[in-house]
Amino acid sequence: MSRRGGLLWALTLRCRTASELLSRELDEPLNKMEWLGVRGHLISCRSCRRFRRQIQWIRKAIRIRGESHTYSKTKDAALTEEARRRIARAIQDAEPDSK
Amino acid sequence: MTADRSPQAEETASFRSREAANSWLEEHGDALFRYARSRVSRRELAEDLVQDTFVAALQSRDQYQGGSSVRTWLIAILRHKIIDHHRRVASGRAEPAGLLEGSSGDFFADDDHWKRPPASWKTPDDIVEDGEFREVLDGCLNRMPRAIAAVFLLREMEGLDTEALRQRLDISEGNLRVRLHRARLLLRECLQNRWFATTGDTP
Repeated sequence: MSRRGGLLWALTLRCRTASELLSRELDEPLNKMEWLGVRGHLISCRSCRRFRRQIQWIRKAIRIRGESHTYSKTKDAALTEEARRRIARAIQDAEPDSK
Repeated sequence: MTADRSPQAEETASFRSREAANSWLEEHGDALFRYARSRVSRRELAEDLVQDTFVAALQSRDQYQGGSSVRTWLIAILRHKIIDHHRRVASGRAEPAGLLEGSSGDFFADDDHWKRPPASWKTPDDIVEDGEFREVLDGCLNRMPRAIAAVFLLREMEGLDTEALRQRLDISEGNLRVRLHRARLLLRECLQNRWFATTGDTP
């Protein structure tokens, strides 16, 4: 039987399962059978090799997006006057040192 | 209350606190906004988070130890606000039922093969800093179901690990895996359709 996690399962898993494992591998280590299964699948599946490369690339892109304040020189570089006034008003209305 | 905390003294202290908060806004407002803007894809949300940060800083001014710079302290508060925002969205119960059921259903055929196999991507190193690409990326993030995008951003942008995510969101291991998997499937396909399919790559 191809019990989930067994050897036969590992040798016959298809793209749906492979993509689950490739995603999970970015978050936590796989067990040996899962690792073996997904590596075996990748040898013969170009689509899943692309999926793997692309979600890794997306991870990098998101990280760089999150660091963009360090080089940003776009229209998003400063608060608008309106936002600044709104925030100043919120500071006036706030209760300082409230316990 | 001690004797020197007379109403008058309180008023002076509160005035001084507000003065400080206003000078923080003057000095650090734009930097905080840039930080918020790099972490959330909507401008109004970034503004709200910056506002919440200044109010929280004013209220917890006593806790500022002076060990780090004011800006570092403010950024730490802001980051906390951003994570908290994602956490609230991620644990929102407003998502339609069945959203997370059979998560990969629309991506795979009955025989478990890709319905629309991933195409080849050309990914030069500098495209991530390209403004046009960033707009497409933000658009794709905004099109994802909010509860899925929020978990994904906590993982990929804020760098929380799965243990921290499970605890903060109070969701099961399986639910977390399904959401991250679905986020990657959705974002990958959206980028392919809206960016890579139009940049003239070779198959």
